[in-house]
Amino acid sequence: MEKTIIETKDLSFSYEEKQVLKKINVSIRKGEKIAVMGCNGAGKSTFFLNLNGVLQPDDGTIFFHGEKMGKKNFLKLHEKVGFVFQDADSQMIASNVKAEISFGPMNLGLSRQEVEKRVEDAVAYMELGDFINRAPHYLSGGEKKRVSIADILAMQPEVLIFDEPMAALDPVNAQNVEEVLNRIHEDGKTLIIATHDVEFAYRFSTRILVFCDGDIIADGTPDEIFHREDVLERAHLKQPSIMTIWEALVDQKIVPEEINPPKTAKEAAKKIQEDFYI
Amino acid sequence: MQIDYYAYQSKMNTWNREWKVIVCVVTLCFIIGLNRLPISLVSLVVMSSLTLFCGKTPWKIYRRYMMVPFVFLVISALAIACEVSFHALGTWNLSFHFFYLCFTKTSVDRAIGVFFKGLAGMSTLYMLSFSTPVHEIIVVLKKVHLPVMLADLMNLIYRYIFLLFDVAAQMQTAAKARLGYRNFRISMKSFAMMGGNLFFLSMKKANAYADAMEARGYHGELLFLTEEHPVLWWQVVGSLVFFVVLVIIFKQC
Repeated sequence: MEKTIIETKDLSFSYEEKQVLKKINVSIRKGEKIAVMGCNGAGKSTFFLNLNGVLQPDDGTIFFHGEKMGKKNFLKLHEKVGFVFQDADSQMIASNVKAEISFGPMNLGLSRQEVEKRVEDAVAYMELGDFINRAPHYLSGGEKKRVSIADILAMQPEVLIFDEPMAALDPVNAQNVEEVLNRIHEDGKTLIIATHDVEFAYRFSTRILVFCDGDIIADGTPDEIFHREDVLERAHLKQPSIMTIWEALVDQKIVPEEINPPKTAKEAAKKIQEDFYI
Repeated sequence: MQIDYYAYQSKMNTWNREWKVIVCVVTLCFIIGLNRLPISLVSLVVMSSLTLFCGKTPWKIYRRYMMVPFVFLVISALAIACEVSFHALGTWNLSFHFFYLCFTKTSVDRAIGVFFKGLAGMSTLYMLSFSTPVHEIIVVLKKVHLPVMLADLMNLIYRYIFLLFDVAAQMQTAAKARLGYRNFRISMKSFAMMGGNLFFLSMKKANAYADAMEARGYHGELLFLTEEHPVLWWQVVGSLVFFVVLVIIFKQC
């Protein structure tokens, strides 16, 4: 079992009268790929803003590497838990890409050389070399997304939170983002991703948290979660189509039952071809 | 807004920004302070050439932008040059049966002076704005100790004005698509509703931006990495030669 990075204990938060988070208890371990699902307004964004330290919980505590986060040290959460917002435009404030990416590291109070180096690394990582002197308002949607990810990578956080990273992107750009997410994960970062895309959550994540009315109603592997019909119904989710089809095939004894069922159409096709060769 | 787009395209974008601001301000001082026609003419030629040949701003665009002050200056120069009178007082008089339009030598000279002074001043300002995006100018302002809060506000306003325009354009298209601009009365109503919506939307977005900034560790001052472009020797020499020529012209006349 990997080390726990973030742990929340009875985390509660309300906007004025309305309670948005109700005693959330969850621990996030190093190297996990967590998909956070649940209907709109279930409290996902508020949960993320708490993890990142922008909002402070009314009640309950957040532990970061076992250390209790309070009024004095919540800045550490800004630094170590990066948040890529859904709307790239609302994240970008500088007038050119290089300045934009430097904003986070500059706020960390690093030396000029260190900032320079981190910006260069992030630019190279996201392949933004051609854009560094461009203004954000002259970039396309996919480019903006890449810049907004580079923004956070330059801060070198341990945990990255993405709020619907593929929303409003075309399929190619969406796939690029997915590849980037995989790359970031392989580089040893922990990912928390809010998404409505069940296919993506099924193939990508190692664990799913389902939010509903400010509470986590289910927490488990994608296979477990997508087999619980009560959860799916309550959280407005659907079973991934590849899962439904594969199970129908298994039921009809067309394909043998497997411990690791395929997660994408490609994997399924490969398995079927292999079976028919035998 | 387009001017900003051309500033990003300009070949002079990579020139040292302090140099550009200093040249612009000093030239303006010469034009306005010394107030001589030859100085205006020389500055007009030099500054326009900088924009057109060094910055490679398209001539069509430059001409369009120069037309605005040009038309304005023609009208004001005419107003300065002529006087309405019941008697033929001027050096040249146009008779309109009841009254005369009188032009005197001094008034015509003054009008020409004002006309070229205005045009030269505009070309100098365009030299700066066609070659320097706004955020670079803000960096210079920060260096001369403009209060941080004002500089940051300028930065944010500059950035968000583009977003505001985008949203406004989207709303306008959506309203048009539903016949919201069919006639004058309905257009007024649509426009008012759009204004109101834009206000609420801005309030909501402002919160999102504040969150996003805080999430990246913002604590009171906008800090960005800025590109440094050193001044090149020929730029310094060029500007000095230009200023010396202006002084010589001033001594001559």
